[in-house]
Amino acid sequence: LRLETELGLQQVRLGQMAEQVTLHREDARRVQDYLVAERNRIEYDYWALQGSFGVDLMRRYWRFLAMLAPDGSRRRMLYRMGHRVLRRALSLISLPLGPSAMGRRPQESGGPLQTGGGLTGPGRQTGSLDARFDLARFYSDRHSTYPAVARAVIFSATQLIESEGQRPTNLALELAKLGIPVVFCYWRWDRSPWTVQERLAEGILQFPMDLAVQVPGDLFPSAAGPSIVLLEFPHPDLFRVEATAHASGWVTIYEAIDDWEGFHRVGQAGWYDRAFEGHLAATSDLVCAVNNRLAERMVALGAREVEVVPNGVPSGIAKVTTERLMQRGDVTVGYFGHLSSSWFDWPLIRRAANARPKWRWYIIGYGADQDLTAVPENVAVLGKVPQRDLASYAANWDVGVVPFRTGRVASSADAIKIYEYMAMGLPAVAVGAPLPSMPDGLALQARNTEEFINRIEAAAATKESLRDARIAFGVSASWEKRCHHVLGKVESMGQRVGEKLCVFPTAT
Amino acid sequence: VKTLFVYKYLDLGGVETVLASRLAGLPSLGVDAEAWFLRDGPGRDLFGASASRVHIGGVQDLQRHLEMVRPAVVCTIDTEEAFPALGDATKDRATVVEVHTPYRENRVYLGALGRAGVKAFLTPTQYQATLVARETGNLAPTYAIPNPLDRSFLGELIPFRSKPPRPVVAWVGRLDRLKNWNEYLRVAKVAMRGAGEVEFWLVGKTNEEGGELRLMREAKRQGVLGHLRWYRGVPHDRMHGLFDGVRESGGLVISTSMEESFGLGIAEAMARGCAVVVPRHSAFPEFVEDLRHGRLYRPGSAGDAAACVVSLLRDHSLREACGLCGRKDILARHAPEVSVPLLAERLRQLAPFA
Repeated sequence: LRLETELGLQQVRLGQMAEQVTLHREDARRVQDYLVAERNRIEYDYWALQGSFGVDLMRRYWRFLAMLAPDGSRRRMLYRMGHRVLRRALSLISLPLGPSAMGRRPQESGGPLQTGGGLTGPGRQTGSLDARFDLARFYSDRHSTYPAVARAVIFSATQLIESEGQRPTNLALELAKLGIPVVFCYWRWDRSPWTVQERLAEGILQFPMDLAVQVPGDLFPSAAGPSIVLLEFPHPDLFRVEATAHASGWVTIYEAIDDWEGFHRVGQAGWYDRAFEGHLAATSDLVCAVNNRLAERMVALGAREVEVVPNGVPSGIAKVTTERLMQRGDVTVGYFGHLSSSWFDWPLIRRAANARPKWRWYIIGYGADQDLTAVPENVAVLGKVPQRDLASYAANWDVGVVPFRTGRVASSADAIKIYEYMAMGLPAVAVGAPLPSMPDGLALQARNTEEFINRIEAAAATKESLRDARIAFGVSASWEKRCHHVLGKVESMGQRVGEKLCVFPTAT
Repeated sequence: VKTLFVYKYLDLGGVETVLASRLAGLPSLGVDAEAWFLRDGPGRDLFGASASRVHIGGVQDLQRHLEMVRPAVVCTIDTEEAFPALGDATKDRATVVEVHTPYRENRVYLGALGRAGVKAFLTPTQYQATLVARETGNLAPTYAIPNPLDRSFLGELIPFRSKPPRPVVAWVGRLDRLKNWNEYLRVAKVAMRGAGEVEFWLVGKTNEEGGELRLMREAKRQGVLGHLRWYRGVPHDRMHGLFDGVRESGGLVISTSMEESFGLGIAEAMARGCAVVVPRHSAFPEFVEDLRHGRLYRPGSAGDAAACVVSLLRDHSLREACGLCGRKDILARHAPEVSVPLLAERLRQLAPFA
């Protein structure tokens, strides 16, 4: 009896330890996500700096000086002397003269939203054989437990960072949960970051995209069932990838998740090519769009049929993990998401906050490119918060807002945060971004500052009365359901999937 | 008759497929055939039950194998690298040179075969036979032996459950200058105006630096990128399904090649019941008859080719009749049961002390 009691106690202790390990692992992943995002931000800033006019001017200056005063020359000696004198006199810090100061040209950098980014530019790493070996081993070791799809490859403009809540990330996680081995081809800013393969146990291999486009044949081996490749952005370097997938009998899925041409017109996504997006729209086996507006755009580009698969909500996002007390206002308004000024309408927030000084505003997010101290006193900018903690912040809010700049880019977006606000039972008010298809009154739309304020007041009044309806809508929009929606189209051989599987019968 | 076929690559290409059909069919006809490849590759699976008759090794290994096995006939297929292993002509072995390549630069070696003791040249068509006779100065007799088609192209034509949404005009080949893919895109541009809703399938790969970028640029320049589906490197054992898709779409297969020793891709398309459009030159007129199997167009004229494409796409009954007739005629000449015995007979005649 004593031994049994001891055994029971030991089991309880082991259970507690296992829980602790799980918690520690989650914490570690959170920290890792944060660090990866931080690294990406720094690299983005670095490349932005490299491409700036000032740095370019300095680079030219040093190049000119190196020509004028080469190593070992008398001029060089004079330069050094003059430099020392000037440094002492002006306490200026200068850069060394020489080739190391020349740096790399900005066009050698890449990035989904940077101008002129190429996946296989001259300065980019060609990758290592180890990565290909890892890929081959992943394919040989992993077998799908989902009967209808053997393998999945996702080409994403972002990295697999769960806390950023991007669509490709969520689809990858959901596909992996279903037992489908996923190769997640991610954008990397430079050769150095090699993502830690912390998702292998879940069935996700993360593979750098610049290497993937060079070895597309390795990505699409034949499998004992239909396999899918999701192209989440229309980079022209994916031409070869898509063609190889076609030749291997893989089902190609193009997902229109943003108006990339809109980005291109405002000086971002310099790689964008309308003709290539038209090519993807017209020749992919399955074309999906996140909303009707992008679906219409795909039809205009040549798609015969488009499946609207909106964005979704990750499971557990509405769960309040820790109670968090925050200062409340007459109305407490919150936002979480990207803070780039190409999306986020900072002037609107300033005007509304100034107009309602007794309201309290909380802004959570990343990617800000503005001085965050220059906001009214009743606005608190909290920075980046782990996704699982968002609900505990939002529990203090009356309304969630989507204050996007009015324009082509935002008007084609399907703001993920609206679904997330709904899942948390929060009323939502959106400016710039269209509302998803949803029951009336759950979320409201505004066109200017005055309407924005009025709609927030109106929405706050429905917080309790429509709470259950909002949560029900949020539940219906889970990423799990979105994933099944896409897979359903594959299984039912929708659009051109049936044709592909007839042409390549060995893939079925 | 102990025969050894020698080829450079063990890939998934047309020659390997032809060799696989030969190794499968020749033993039952009294020819003890084996194949030797100088470089290994992914093509071993093509040989199925005949895989034990496939050898891989360098020139020295080949020499040792020849000394050990002593075949009566050695057939090199576009593989000049093998000649050092063959040595001087011997009385108990016949050296036969098969010339399949349409690339002029790959046939340069033929002019230097004077002392190699070649007993005969084999080609897949009469056109190629004439060409080889001219280039070798009638060094040895040249015989045209039809290529056997792979068995995957012989199966029944089964209707698709899901057809391509538009008629498909397909092009198959290597993306290089000789195969003239640029002209295909020009034809596509003109044909699109006349045929309306149509899709273009380009099936092939390029080994040229920047070739893919050039393809995209040219497709964009011709305004056909949005109608072009590119299949980059379809394994040969899946090609029959692709041709089935073309046929089921109500489409056709076109060649814009500047020269062909045979035109295996077109013959395989015909075997799957596809109507074809080919230029009236080189080996094509030997097996494609105008208005019986498809259309023959004026070489170098994208406009004429496009007009032929449009006329066939519009005339459903003609296209279907061409497809069926093409299948019947091509199988009558290129089914392994027909062409392999012809080769066996020729090998018996060429063997020493025949």
